Amino acid sequence: MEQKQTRPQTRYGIDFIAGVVTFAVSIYVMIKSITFWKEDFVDVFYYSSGLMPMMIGICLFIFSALYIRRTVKEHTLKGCLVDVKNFSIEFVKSKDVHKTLIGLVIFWIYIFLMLGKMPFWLATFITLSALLLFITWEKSAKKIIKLLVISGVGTFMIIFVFQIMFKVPMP
Amino acid sequence: MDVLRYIGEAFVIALSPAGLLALVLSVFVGLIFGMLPGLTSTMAVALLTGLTYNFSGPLAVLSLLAIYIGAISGGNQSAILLNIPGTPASAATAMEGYPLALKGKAGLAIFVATGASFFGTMISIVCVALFTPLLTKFALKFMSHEMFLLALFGIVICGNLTSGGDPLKGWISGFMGLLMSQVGMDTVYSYRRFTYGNINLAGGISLLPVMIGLFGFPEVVKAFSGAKKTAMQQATKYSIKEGLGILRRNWFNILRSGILGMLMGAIPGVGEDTGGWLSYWSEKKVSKTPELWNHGCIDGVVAAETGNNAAIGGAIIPVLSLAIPGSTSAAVLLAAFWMHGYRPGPLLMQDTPHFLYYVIVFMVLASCLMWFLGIVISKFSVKVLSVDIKILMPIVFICCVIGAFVVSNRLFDIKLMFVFGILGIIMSFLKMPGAPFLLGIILGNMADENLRRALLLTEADISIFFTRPISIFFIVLITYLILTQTPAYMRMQEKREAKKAAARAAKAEMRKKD
Repeated sequence: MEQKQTRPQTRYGIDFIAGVVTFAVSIYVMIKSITFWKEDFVDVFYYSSGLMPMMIGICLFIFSALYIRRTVKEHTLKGCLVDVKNFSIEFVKSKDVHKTLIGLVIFWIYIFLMLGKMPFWLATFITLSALLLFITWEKSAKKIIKLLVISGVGTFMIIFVFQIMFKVPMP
Repeated sequence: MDVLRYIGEAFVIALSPAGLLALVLSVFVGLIFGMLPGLTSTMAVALLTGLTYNFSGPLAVLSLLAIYIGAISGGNQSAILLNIPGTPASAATAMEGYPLALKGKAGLAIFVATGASFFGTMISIVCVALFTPLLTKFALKFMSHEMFLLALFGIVICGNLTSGGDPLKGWISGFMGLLMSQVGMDTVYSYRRFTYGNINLAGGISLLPVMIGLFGFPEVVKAFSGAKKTAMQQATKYSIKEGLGILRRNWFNILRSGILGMLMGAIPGVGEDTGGWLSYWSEKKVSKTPELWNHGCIDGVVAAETGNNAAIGGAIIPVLSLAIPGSTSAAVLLAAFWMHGYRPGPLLMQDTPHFLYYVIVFMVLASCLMWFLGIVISKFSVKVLSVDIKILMPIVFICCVIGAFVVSNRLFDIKLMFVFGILGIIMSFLKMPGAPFLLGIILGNMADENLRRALLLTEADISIFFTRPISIFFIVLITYLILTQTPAYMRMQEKREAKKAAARAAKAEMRKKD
């Protein structure tokens, strides 16, 4: 408690990109807020639907400018760009990132391609099995069967608890 | 008389068969969630909100409060047995709890920790009962422009306090949340903003998919990268008399930690973990046996657990009276109250006066049950903690999907949850806090509506912002919070500190010479 709180360490290259993205968003929001005012047929800006977005846009503009300025001042623009390059290389090579991305792809397939297009229990069983096999992969028939059983039991429990016990509608 | 009637009604609801079942199950599930590292109290409340969607309002509130209390307390078991806090709130408990477990006193430590959690919650409940009506009465004096400033203050202070030392990121997160709240039809003219012709966005962004996406999804994804296992200790046998004796001996520690934890909980965005740490630190400062600390001092466990659980009530006070949450979990709880038709805020005691008393009774019952169940579960916690988180997380993901779907029965909300989940992962990578983002979404429409109303009533005369003490108070506070982060202020602060350090060094030099 006696120690002075320091800023958490993050990748400054990514901080720079986040700042630029926020900056772009803030400009877009400010332009959009003028459009809202013109389109909602309110004479005065202070009562139009563009007021709040404009205020948010201005605040984000200031904060992102401070964010970019701080990052560039501490690490220089060139340093930030080099860090972005290094980060991209690490990102492409990292096994953890690969695992996370594959996991996210499985989530995406489940949410965007399977749900609503096939029975919920089937989609859930397939996804659970895929996720469990992927996360804890081991080339052993016994382990695979065990994980498939866990997926089956998990799917049954989810449907039993949510749909049957609590009458929650399923996707 | 009305108060007694409300309290009676709350007991009838909680002690009905459905109420009892909901209470026991929620505390139990909360304890398990709290116990398992990776599953947080915020996640527990967010997921249960979907599950309780078909419940009656009071029953849902009972379940949500019970799971919140259970989850904060449950974290102590993994902190003591594994040296891994189940929730961030129990981080301070691990400092003394794990060394105690290594000495073979895990059972006693869990008993004392659960007891301290109970007393911490009870102290904070007394504060909820005392301060919520007062604060609500005061908040009724707020005019439209002051309500706008209150919302703004909530986001700024939440950004300040949850950012871990980088308020700029907290504010960006909060204002991004405010921006998200602008999606959909505006509250005055029903003009569609940022909908891009998508009919699903016309009604705005639902809270539950955002909550689950921001707080649940990133935890699930973290399971993809391997987690190291720590040697687990067994919950050993202990004497209840000894445990109660320790709690009795620590009565002042409990009282002080309870008040400190409650105060920390009441400050928007600070939450249970700071409550635990501050209480731990304050007890350590006054301890007569400093040599025992960090080697298994039971007083530290008492202080940390009282502090983090007292923050629950503290966090609920601003939720009920001002609709501004004191912690991330309380932000999710506020959103859940909204979804169940309750409108916490200045009008709470006028519109739904029973709600406060329901909350108080439900919290009392949940904390009593938490003490009992916490001790019972400690006998099996080694087994619970042996569950492989990598196997659990895919199932939690499916629960996230159902939770996002259940409010409006729209597949669109699941897709929204996925999108906000990705955003949550990016934010957690950037160390950008999620709580201000959620608060921005909750308070966005309130801020918009009140600001425009105030400007319309005064024909854009901004002098109203400087003519009443409440608005001046908020303006000064917001300005101060923002100015403290400017480079000029920081340089000034550094100079002042350097001067102080130089003076101290000179004094020390003088003393040496003498």
